[in-house]
Amino acid sequence: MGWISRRLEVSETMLGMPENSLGLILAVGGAVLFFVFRFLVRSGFKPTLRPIRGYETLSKQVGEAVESGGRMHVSLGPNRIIDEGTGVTLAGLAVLDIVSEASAISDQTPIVTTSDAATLPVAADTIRHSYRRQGVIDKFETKSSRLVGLDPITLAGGATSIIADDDVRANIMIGSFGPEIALMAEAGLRQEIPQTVGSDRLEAQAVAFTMADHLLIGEEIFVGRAYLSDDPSAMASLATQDVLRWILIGVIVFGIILQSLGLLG
Amino acid sequence: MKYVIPAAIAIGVGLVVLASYLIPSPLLMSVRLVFTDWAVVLAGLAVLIGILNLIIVHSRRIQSGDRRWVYSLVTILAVLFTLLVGVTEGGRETTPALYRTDSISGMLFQGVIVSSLAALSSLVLFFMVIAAVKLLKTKPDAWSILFLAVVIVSLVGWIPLAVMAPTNRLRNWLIGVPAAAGARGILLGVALGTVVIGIRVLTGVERPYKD
Repeated sequence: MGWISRRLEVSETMLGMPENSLGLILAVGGAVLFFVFRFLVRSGFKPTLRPIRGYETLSKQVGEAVESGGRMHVSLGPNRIIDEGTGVTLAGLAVLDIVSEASAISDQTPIVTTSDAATLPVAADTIRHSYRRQGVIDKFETKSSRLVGLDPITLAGGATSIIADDDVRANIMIGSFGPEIALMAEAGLRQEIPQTVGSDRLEAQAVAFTMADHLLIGEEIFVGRAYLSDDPSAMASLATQDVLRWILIGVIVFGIILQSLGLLG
Repeated sequence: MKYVIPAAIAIGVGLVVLASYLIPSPLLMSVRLVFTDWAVVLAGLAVLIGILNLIIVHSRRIQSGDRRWVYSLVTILAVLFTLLVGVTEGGRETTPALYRTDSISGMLFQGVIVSSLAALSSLVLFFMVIAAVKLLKTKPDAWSILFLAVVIVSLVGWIPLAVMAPTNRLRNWLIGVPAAAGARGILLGVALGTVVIGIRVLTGVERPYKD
């Protein structure tokens, strides 16, 4: 929470409340909203989803990779699972979960690359769990999860060789990538494979706009499960995210009005 | 029970750490520090598992007679050599060997890793320029034209000539107003996404610890 507040440059005395109180309100309010929406979704309410091209075509990409006998490459990025990158890492793992379940009929396990050693066993476990759900645990390859470097550039270098040499037919990269994503995307372009990129960093988004087929911008990387599965809790979290966004927009507009009227210090 | 115990531990630890940020309490703070220390130890152990993973992947590649087996052999030898040098030099001085200029670890770091990273980083710029040029061919739409126009104005706007003053102003406006607004919007969206995924983990709905 502290990290989020710092990134948003929330003042300690914003609206007369300390940062801790804002964080507490956000966490508790968000949790209440989430459970309300989960109840509503289970009761039949379905939020309207705006089309996101990256997710619309993802299933097709997986299907084509499986049919062609090749494999998927999913890179979870240089972000770590035990710091401020946890959210992005979990978002990547959610997409990996769905992709590996969809590609379980293939003989080739998707390859996952990361530069965080702690994410490595979690990624392997995610694929194993998907395969177990599909009843094909015997097809699971332990070497499919790979630690190819310990920093962003070496991750890009290692993943580039995997994309080029490991019979990869579709490339998905979701994480806190920086401009180094150009190296991996270039390898995908050379192989002429479909690429979907999602990053929470602007540099990677700009690079991906020029090189990837589909781009997931900002919070779009967090809604993969809602778009790619029928999970009610995923729909509920999407609705919660939307409501929180509108509340935030309201607070910003209210702040602008107060500032314009000279009522805010 | 197979799923309940890990979920209970994860949710409990998560709630305590979150509470220590939101509620000022020395007890919560000290518990958080203990959990953080455990996380650091686990992360260190995970690096060893990661190295083992790297060696296994490349060993199997050699065993299977892959056409790139030589690269795998070089990788394994480099890993083992670096590990050996690091362990040997690690215990001699108080300053870590990596930061000493007279150590083999320091030489390997500066001579191999830093220079390789610099080379790869320079390739990034090269690929980006080529991609920008290819953009109009691969995605010939209004957004691509707008993107390239903004890139060109941003680059040309750096030229410190009096005749370029209008372009300088346009560039400053682009960076200060639409780009900054867009960047803040994206950051807010990412922050909200992180909050919601955090709620999912803390409520046990999202469980990355599956088996």
